[in-house]
Amino acid sequence: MPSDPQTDESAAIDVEQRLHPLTLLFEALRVARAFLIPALIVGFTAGDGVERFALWTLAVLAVPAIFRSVVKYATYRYRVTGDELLIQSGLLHKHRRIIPLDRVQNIDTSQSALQRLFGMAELRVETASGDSADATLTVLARDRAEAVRAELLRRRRAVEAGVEPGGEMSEPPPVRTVARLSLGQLALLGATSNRVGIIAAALFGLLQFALQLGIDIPEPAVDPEEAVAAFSAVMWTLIALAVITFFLVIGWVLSIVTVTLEYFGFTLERTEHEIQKHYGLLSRRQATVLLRRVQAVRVEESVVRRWLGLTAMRVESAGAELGARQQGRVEAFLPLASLADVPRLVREVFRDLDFGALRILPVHPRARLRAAIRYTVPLLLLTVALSAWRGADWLWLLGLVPLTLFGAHLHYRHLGYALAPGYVIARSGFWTRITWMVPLHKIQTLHVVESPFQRRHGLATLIVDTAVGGGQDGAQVIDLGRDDALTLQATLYARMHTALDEVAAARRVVAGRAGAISAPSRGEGDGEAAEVD
Amino acid sequence: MQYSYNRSDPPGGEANPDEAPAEATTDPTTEADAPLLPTIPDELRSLDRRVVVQWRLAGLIRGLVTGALVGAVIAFLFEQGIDGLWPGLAVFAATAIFSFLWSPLRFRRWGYRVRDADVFVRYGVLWRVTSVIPHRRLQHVDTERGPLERWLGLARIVIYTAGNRGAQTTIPGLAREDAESLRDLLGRLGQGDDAV
Repeated sequence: MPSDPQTDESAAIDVEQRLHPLTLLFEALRVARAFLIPALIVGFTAGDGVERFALWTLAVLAVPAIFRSVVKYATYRYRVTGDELLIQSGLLHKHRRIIPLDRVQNIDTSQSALQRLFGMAELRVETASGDSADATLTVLARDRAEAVRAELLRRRRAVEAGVEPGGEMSEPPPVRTVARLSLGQLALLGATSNRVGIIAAALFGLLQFALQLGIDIPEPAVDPEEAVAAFSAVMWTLIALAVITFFLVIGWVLSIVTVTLEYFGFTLERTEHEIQKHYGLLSRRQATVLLRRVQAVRVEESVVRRWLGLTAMRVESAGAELGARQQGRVEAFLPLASLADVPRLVREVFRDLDFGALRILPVHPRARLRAAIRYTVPLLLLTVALSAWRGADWLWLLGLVPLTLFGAHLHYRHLGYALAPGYVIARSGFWTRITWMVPLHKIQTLHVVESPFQRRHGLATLIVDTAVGGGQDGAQVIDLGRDDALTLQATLYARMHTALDEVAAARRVVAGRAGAISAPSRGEGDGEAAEVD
Repeated sequence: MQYSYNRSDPPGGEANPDEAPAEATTDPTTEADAPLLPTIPDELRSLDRRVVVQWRLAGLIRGLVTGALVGAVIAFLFEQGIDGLWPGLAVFAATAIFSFLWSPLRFRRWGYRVRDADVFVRYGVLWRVTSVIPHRRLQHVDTERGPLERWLGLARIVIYTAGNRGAQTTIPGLAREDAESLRDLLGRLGQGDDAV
């Protein structure tokens, strides 16, 4: 990783810059991917007349797409003036976007394998405003992307510190490595990833598809019906088991390989105000998030990892998780950490939160009853239906009742919450236990929801809403007693205000100090990435 | 500055940050310094009565549309001809009766209050929601009026925050002038923090 941003080319960011000419190539490839593949499929499958019509339609659609790509490359300009990133594009319909650097949440660079081949990279700048990156510079020469990223980070730091953006304070802050993943850990990560099941299922589906297409799979010489008769049920079970095992093993191996490639050289680093990670063998990725913008931290433990004392951690910032949207998949802040290491890692993000000292409190005991009913009643209904329809044999299903009761107990055991000074912690989930840590001053709104089923048991769920991205559920304390939920809501509400007052006071102090140097009284308030026509 | 549900009663929050809710779970009822619970129905304002008419009419229209759709599908797609009328009518009647009975329940459950530091809402017949939206978390406030609302002289207010679940909170069925003054009030109150 080139950690030498202070070269002369980074200074050139003040004047208008264009994308790299290879943008055209990548745009062409993108268009080709979007249109050529459908065209090929149509070409192979459809009849003569339909085929020609469809191909023409595709061509007619592709031409504007190509035109748009060319226009995009020809008109796209970016530059940084003072403390704003300016992006403009468009020929007839001019599009201008201004992103104030102090609103920037994440700055990422990434390289797909293909971009790597050409020495290109893509730079993304995200604010809290939405689902897609607010500025995506595709593609830049790799050095250039790194330089722009470093320069944006430098200027944002300057803005944060209240220094005039053009001025001094250009020293990049010291970087400290927080965590690294060794090859062994990567293998462990792949082996315990739920990708195993996904790959196995996909392979199985693919096999079925191949069979349906009639790809040559040697037919048995004997009459299949005889073969069926010859095999006992035990044999069939064994064969099924063998097939499943086979797919699982392949899925396992592929999972280890792909995870290792993807997270190769995973390094998590911290500067004073930021946390950043970089990783990847074929495609490389780098992401930076401002610690002040972190909305919540999540610790995730699947059953398997919990048994092995392992966990994954996520850092949620507004709008996007840290590097969350690579190919629409959710990525972790640290995909694998040992449970013992979690307190230290949490402290890297939330300095004043002692994860190790948390005493997770149980929710209301009736939560267990509710879960028991929720798991058992469907089983009872199923038993009744099946034994009425298929005969009393199916009553054996009742033997599963202890299992549902035990499941309810497990469910209850993994629900909980805690309050630490300045933070609220919510935990739920047996199969994947998720522990949310939310700083009180990041709480947005508080909701108590009582479903009809909860109401019967006097229970309620408290939702601690934060500005985490991706429309996820967020932190919730499930199945508190109703009055407890309302009490906790009121308590958190009051503490949120106290915490916000403290943060505001602290910021005034900093601003006062910075004001002696310069007086940048930017309007705090609305306005994420401002859009100007 | 004090923030609490009830201004006369300071919350237990700041006194001892660790104790209050921790004990609240083990024994909620005896919690002495718990903040006053926000269950004061007579302090909440209800919606404008006309909203019941609005919801019933909306239900009627919904019933007409779905009824006609179901009738048409059965009559033409399944080629039942005039017999398609009856299932269509049944769907219409069911929807209409349901919304006729449901709307007053909804109305009765709805309550809101704009306080010094927040907007407090409570609603829901089956799923009951109790929400608090601090003014300092406000992004912006809209008033919206559909055709029915315009005809009845009503409006609804939509409050936006940067959050996820509470990203959008709607208070329906306000008299138009109330909604507008409320929007302006919230617009003034909601200028505070950098919200994320």
